[in-house]
Amino acid sequence: MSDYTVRIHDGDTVKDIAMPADEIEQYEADAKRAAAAAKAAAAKEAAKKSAVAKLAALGLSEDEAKALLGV
Amino acid sequence: MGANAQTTVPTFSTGAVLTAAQMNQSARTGVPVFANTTDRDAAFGGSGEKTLAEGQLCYLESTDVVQYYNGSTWATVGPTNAAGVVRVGGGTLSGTATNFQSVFSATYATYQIVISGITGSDDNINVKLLSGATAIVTGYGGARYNVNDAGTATVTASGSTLWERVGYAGSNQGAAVIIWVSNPFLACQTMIHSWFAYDNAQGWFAGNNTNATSYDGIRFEHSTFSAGTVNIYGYSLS
Repeated sequence: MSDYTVRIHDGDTVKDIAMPADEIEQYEADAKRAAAAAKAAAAKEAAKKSAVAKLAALGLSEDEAKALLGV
Repeated sequence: MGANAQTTVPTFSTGAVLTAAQMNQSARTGVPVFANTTDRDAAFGGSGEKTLAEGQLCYLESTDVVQYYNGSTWATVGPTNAAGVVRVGGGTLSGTATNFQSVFSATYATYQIVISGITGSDDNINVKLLSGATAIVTGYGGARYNVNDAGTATVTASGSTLWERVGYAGSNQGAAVIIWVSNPFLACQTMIHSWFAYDNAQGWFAGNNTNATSYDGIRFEHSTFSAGTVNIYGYSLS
């Protein structure tokens, strides 16, 4: 059986099957895109923290830096 | 004590004499069935008919209800209409995806899906509509608002091939999601709203599917569902 499985509930019938190849392809594409989006979001968050730190080094308080950056 | 009140429930043995009084008490306190309220009202108080009295029961075919007479009016026993919320499907989550097929119909417009006790991997719970056993992969849109226990909020857009991040689950059992789906069975846009909570964060998801197509099922995807119970309810239209 494939690493990917699907449980199907249809009325009183319950069965577990291997995920069809086209669904696996779609699932992996979705997961790849979600991982890329999460990575981009993390990079954006890191950039915000870096900007706050740099503004703090210029003498702004953390609250002032966050207010300036809108974060 | 009313005319229908009994003080004993007799048992007859072979050869015992059944009196008219006993027969009348037994036969006339049963539950007569009437086609409608007009027939019911006409059946009492006439020549050779029983005088209506407190405690009388009847069954109405027109509305499928049992009624009792309280001495001045008829009242319905139990609910007067079908239940407002009716369970239409459910079961356990397992594997990479779990389908709930043939749960949406023309009987209801809005459905509530309650998922509790979810255990899995540290990953999103994603949702797709189903047409029969076929997962739909077009037309989705939406966004998730997630707030962790430190108060930090993040907003993330959904993908277009699925409702992405409708919930979240980790290895600690207990994550829960409550979802509302509107008009999946109608040939129009389908809307989704969810509230979710897991180990250290919570939030909501809202979105739509722009396909003007009727769908009859729903599918949940996750890295690997280890546990989780799903109950799907339809909201009565009247």
